[in-house]
Amino acid sequence: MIYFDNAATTSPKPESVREAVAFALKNYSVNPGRGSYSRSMEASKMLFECRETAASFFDFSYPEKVVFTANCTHAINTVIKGMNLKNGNIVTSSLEHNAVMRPLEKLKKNGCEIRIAEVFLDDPKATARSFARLIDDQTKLVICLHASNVCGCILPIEDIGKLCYDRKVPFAVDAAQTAGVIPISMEKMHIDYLCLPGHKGLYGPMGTGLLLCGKPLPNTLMEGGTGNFSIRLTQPDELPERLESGTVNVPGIAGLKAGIEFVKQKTPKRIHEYEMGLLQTAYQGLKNIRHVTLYTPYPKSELYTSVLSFNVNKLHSMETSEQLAKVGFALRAGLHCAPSAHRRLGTISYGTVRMSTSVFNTKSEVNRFLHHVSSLAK
Amino acid sequence: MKQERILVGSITYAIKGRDLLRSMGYSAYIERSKGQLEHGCGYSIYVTYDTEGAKRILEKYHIKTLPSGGGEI
Repeated sequence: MIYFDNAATTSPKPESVREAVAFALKNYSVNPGRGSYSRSMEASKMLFECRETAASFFDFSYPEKVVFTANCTHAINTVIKGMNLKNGNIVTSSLEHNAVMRPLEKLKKNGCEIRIAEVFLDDPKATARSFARLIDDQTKLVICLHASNVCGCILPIEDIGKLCYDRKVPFAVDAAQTAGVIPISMEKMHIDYLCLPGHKGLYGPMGTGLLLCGKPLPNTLMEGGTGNFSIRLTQPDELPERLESGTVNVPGIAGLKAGIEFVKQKTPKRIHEYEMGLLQTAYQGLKNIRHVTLYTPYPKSELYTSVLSFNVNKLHSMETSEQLAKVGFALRAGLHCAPSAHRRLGTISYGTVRMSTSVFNTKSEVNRFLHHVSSLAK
Repeated sequence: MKQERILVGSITYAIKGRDLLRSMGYSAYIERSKGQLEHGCGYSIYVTYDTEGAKRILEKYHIKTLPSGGGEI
């Protein structure tokens, strides 16, 4: 199989990640943060090292505020529901995934107005102005993705963060498509809450995610055993335990730590350049095939991540992906859990086929893919 | 050797605090808190000297220490 569904989860995982998971299953199958025996302490140490690695990677000074979650959606829900939002407005973008849109939709019951800032594909300054127009003194939160999982468009997070900082509005970022490929600085970008998956651009196992929690959250999604302050029946205030009730995914976190180290060693800049080189080859090739529709301008590296949507005109997106699957290609079709983005691109009624590359793809795979799409389009 | 304990809020703060104190020349290690569980289960950092100085360093780096009812072992 030639795998081009890396926007969903990267595959394969690096050998170092697989080894770290296996090592943890063998040696850390204990409960961290609870026991006094050596293996429990070693597991706790490994968890803290992962927090430190992540904090350093995202330029965040507080490893103890790096919270382990099950995935990016879990991190986003922890923020949105944790803020106890009532009334006022929340500003988000026109390209959001349902991980953001569904929790926001639910907030309408609390009297919150959801404001949608238009994203301009090749004009980040215009996108930032869209946000500026919608943020006012009733804005309780600005939350948006860093890059679209449908078309790869990167949002001007630093500009939006500055707006939020100046207007004293909390700022949360869904970095599902950028963590590991675009450098992110919590400090410089004025991000209060950074939500990310462990299993995409950080190359960790599925079932891992992180919330870098720069500001307190008054409410919790879950309460339960944390290994500290257990005499109290109320949830402790201290992070990360406040947001980590129950036993955490120790093997997954060991793999996530190895994944971040893998990315650090290669550097996000080099990974991004490599992936975009493949994607740009694919874009040019698809553009030259008659009866193929593309939905974005040429994906310049500074404006896009390695995600590309297309359709073969005579086929439904699902049909195209099924035909490609029959000849060994893994791509995802449909709405990609992001109907807002498809509305914005004008593809809501039939979806698109999405190609997304990783560091393990090759130019020869892209050429074979183009050959098969060309056959389908005839 | 006399060892004194400093109660902290969680294993995360215990590791962060231990590493910080070690980087400043203290002999420090972590154990599950013993004795009266006035805060419930938790972890403590043990140091062999200058407990008050160690506490001040922890507080300076925003590692909250907890009051302890009988800290010597």
